[in-house]
Amino acid sequence: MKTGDLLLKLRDKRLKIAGIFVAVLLILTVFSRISASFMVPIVETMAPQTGFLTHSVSGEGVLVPNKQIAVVPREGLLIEEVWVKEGQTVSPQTPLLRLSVSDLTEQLAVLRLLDQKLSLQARGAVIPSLNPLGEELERNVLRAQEDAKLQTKSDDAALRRAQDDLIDSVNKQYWVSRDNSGKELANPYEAEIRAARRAVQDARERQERNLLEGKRALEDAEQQIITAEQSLKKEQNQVAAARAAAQVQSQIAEIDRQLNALAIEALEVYHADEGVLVAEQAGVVTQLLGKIGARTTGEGVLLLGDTASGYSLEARFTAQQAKHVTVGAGATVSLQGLENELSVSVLGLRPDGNGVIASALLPEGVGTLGGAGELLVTQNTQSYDFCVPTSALREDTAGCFVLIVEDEKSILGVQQVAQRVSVEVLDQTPERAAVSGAFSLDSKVIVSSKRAIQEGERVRLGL
Amino acid sequence: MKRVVRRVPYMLYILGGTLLFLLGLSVWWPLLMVLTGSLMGSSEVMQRLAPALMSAKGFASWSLLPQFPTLRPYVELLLDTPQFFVLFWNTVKMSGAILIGQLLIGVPAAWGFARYSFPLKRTLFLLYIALMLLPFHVTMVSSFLVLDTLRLLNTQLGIVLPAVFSTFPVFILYRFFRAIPHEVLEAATLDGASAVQCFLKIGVPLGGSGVAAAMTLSFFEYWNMVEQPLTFLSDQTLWPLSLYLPSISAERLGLTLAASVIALIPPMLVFWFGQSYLEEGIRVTGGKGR
Repeated sequence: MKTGDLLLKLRDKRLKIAGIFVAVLLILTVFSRISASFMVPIVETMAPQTGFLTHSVSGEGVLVPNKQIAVVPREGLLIEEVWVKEGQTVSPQTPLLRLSVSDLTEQLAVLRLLDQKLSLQARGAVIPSLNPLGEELERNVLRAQEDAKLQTKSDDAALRRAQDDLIDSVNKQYWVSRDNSGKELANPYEAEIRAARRAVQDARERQERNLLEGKRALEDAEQQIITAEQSLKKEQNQVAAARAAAQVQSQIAEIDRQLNALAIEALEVYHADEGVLVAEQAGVVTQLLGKIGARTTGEGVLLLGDTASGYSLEARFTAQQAKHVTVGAGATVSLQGLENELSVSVLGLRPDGNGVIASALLPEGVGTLGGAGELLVTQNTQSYDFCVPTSALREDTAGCFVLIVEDEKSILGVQQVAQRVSVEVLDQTPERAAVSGAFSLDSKVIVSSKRAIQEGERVRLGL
Repeated sequence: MKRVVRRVPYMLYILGGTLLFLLGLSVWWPLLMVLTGSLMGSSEVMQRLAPALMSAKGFASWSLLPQFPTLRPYVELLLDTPQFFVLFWNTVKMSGAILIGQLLIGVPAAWGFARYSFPLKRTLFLLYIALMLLPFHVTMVSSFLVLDTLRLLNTQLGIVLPAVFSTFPVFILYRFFRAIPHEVLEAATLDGASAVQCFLKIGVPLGGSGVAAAMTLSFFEYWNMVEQPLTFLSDQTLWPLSLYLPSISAERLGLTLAASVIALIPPMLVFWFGQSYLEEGIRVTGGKGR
């Protein structure tokens, strides 16, 4: 019995221990789940969206009149006095500045002398005559021809004479007879015949030689004519060109004379007004370009803004901002002293150092000259396939990436795990970014979390 | 003379004891390593086992007393690792279901083999023994195909059902039921007991120790099963604890060792419960066999 009781007690003890073990494990099972859930960060996700980005850039500037008139006196005049300041309102005929009268007088005198000179130049030029050498050459040719003819005649006559002498000599030798024995007697005319033949031969040779010389002389004379004709042609061209150049010079001189006359006329007007330049219409002096003591350069000495034509806001943007400012882009204008913002559009752009100046036309009656304002330009980009909040972008040494939530099978079932996806940022604003990467529109991109998250870490989707 | 006789047995006693101690230590040493390792921090464990695990220079070393003892591995395991408990209860569920199934199937089967005669009984019993002796790898492919056909792959039922029909408890209980005297059953039959009543009211109580022994041994086998879950379960949520331990990385060895200690407790408790039944069963079997 005691043994049985002991055995029963021991079995109860074992059961108790086993029961405690199982109970502890059950409690720890629940507790470990609770503890693990505290360790899992809660994240907020968003699916990438197709769309465009809106870039908003703002620049500060001042109001300028829409229409500006430049006061541009002739170049080279000495400014003696300036009677207006920037920002000063002027009415028609208000004196603006005064040019030096003495300088005007001096310049007029110079221009008048120049006018005389140009008049003389415009009258005409000397034309050169032709070279008469060609007639003499023709005479030389005729002479050579005549000489050749005469020589030929003379040679012919000499040849005939030599031939006649030969015939005579030959005829004479027929009177030689034989003696009675039949032996031929010596020909006393043989030497004479030989001499006659030699003479004929010489005459022929002389004739041929003279003929050749005559031909050469004729050729030389003809060649001289050809050369002279070429020279004559060349000289004729030179004369024609000289005549044309002289005519052009004359015309140029005439034009110069007319221009000079205009300058004289203008200076006479300034001189008549005693060098005073007045405003032709009402406006505000926006810019003084000329300085006292300086000569005019042919550009405006001052700019008058036409206050009746309204104002534009000219705002400056940096080179970085300039990428998002284009002509025609929508914008809003905020002016000092104006409660509401005005909707305008960018009318023009011009470079200004490292940036640009954008101008926007304001409605009539709005603003005052020189007033400060801010131009906010908003522009939409092209449509991108994937746009995510900028808070979703992360960066490390390997480049930009985002974390997306993917389901992963594990011992605890399907869990959400943060996976890294490398992306390329195509465009970015402070709020959104356009990216390209290996994900789809169904992906859940982590945009925010309660604490820092690493790739491969288990996460929990926020409610 | 008597003094000499007393010395020899004493020296032999010491030698024998020493030898047995050393043999026992060689068996206990891995368990001591697990226990002491579970009380070390990860850095200390890595430092000692780095030459073996991470190809560092030198040799791995161990000490029975940690340099910086800590309960951090247990805290991490029991409070920050809910995965461990999922697998633990999976193991409890599967082991419990298998044991219950074997009770319902194996015990009556053993009773039938032990107390009844039918055609091809011997052949069938030999087949049972053959199936018991076959390793898992031999029947793995055929089991896979059968489970796939029954659509039991990747389910815990695919692990439990084949184990329920295991032949091992039948083999164990056959001997126990054979040892019950025939006269007891005859007397019960004469008193009007049916076959089922004989089985339930005489066979099972008298063979209870055998049943407990068989269940204890089956528990040890299925608490530590690795091959069947590894082959037939791909869903990690269904895995038993035996598959979790190898998946812990070398950097979390402390956690692994702590998990091993915790996983050791249920088998120790079951053995604590079943030890007496095992001993009793062996004793009864030995006496009855004579």
